[in-house]
Amino acid sequence: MFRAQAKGQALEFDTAGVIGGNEVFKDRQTSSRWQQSTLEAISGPLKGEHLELFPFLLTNWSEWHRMHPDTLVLKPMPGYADRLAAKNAEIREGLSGKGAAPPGVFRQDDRLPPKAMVLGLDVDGVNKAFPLTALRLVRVVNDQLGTKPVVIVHQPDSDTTTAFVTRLKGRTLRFEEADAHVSEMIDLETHSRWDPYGLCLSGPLRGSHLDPLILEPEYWFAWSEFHSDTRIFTAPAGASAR
Amino acid sequence: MRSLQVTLAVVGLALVGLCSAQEKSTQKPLPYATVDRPEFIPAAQAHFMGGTDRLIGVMDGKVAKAYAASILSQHGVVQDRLAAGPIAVTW
Repeated sequence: MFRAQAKGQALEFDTAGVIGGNEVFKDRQTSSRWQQSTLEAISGPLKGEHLELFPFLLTNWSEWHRMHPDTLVLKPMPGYADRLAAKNAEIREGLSGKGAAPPGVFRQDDRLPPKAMVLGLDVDGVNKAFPLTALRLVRVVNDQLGTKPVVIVHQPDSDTTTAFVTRLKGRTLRFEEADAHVSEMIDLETHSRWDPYGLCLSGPLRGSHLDPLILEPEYWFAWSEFHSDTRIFTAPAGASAR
Repeated sequence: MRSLQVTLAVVGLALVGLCSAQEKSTQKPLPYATVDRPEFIPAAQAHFMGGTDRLIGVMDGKVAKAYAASILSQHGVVQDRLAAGPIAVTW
């Protein structure tokens, strides 16, 4: 999910195969080719330019519809609707973490299985991968990337993960979940209650918003081949799903 | 995720040859082609969406828009235009 523009020019894209096991797009305006995982142009007149992530939420229909009862929904193209059930089954299988890396991956990093799902976070050039398996154990992660204090929040019921900068009005907040579903969290500094989308619901900070960060859901092989310096969040020993 | 779909598309193509004539008519491969003029329906009409189905959601100003993973994965790219500018939705 990215802004379809570079250097002030609107771009349209076609799929253009796979490099390093990761999809490549070609823009129709300049024929530059763009690597999906890095959003960098790897050839053509825009080589070296980067597309910008656009804020999005990866979640399930129950959660999105609950949050946005009036949401619009992309209509399946004629003919493609017949495949939705089969595609959903493939997508569930793809989230299982099992399987080998595809051929052509530039470099393999054996710290995690190749098809492990991670949520990648890049803050001012410092990046870290949060494996879904670890987030299922530690659902609210207080961390720091570069100079920024951050929190990563995982709601297990809908498999929804969000992230925020936790500096607010000169103060750094730390969070814990209010319940096992992480339907709310509590900051340890003021004991205000927050929803998992960064809005303060009650307490001294009521009405405040945390600045959101954009997480990049990726297979580990794709995240690690393009982020060779990445760190990985690991759940502390003894953490166990409740 | 994309590489998975490429693999499955290849498997899918291989399987088509084994299907009966009737199945061929409903399951022949469809082009992995971008959606350039996306259309949207209200949530109340989105009967094809199941509770656990994955989707990508965005806010277009105050309007919420949902792009089902099951659709995105069949097209590679959905090009849309929001108040904030053009976006490409990918899976």
